[in-house]
Amino acid sequence: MIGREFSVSVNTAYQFIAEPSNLPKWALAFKDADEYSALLAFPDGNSLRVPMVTKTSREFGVIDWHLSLPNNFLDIVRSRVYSVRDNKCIYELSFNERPVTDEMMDDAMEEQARLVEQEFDNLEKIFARMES
Amino acid sequence: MENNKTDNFGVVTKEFATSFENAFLFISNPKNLPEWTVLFKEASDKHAVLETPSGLKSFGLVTHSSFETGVIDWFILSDQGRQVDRSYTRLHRLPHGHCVYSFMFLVIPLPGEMEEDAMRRQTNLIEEELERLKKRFEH
Repeated sequence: MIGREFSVSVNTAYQFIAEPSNLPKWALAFKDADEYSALLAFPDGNSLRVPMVTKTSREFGVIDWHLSLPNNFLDIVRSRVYSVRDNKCIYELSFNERPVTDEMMDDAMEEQARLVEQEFDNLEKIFARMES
Repeated sequence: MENNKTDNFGVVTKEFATSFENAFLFISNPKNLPEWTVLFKEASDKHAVLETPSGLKSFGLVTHSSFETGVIDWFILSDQGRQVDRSYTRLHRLPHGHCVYSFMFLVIPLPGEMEEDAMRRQTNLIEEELERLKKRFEH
């Protein structure tokens, strides 16, 4: 999991992040998304539309995406928004759980952490615009 | 284990070689808190006795948990019902039948303590607690 504090209310952050059509605005792998599916972009330039279910719990700030990838692999991206204090929240996002070998693990973790940080940068800019 | 550290909060995670169901049932029961946490000396559904820098103190305790989402949150309350601390945690199912436990804490420095020292102290404490859970689930 990686988290970052954002200068925005937990309600604003939750409403924006939980809306699947907003995913392409901040999540790097998403070219398009709606309540049923997502168009994923791959580093080799290819893209693939896959079924996606967004599971949320407003009470707990939970926002999870269940992506049905080829070969019956279910990729679950888990996340949560926490209230810290007035107009501050923390957003925590899980790493990709795709299975990799032990040798690949360290590099994969580092790369995924870097990508999540970029996504947090995107959210930070979006929230700053929303608040101004 | 991954630790995410910023100025105001930290996240500690650990994988357990046990099922989500087994881990959730144990961790979400507040009566089990003294078995795996460092500071809880007694705990029930509504009260807890914690070790503080000024000795053992009694607090109110609220546990919010959800089997569906894996969320298990604790809120520590003063005698007057004011929230004095909170921990946000969540269990996640892993594809191979294991689970991973994520523990998010807000950094609360002790009087006179620097924030980075408080972060280190709290991170070490939670790492020890998650290690205790791991041993319990895996041995």
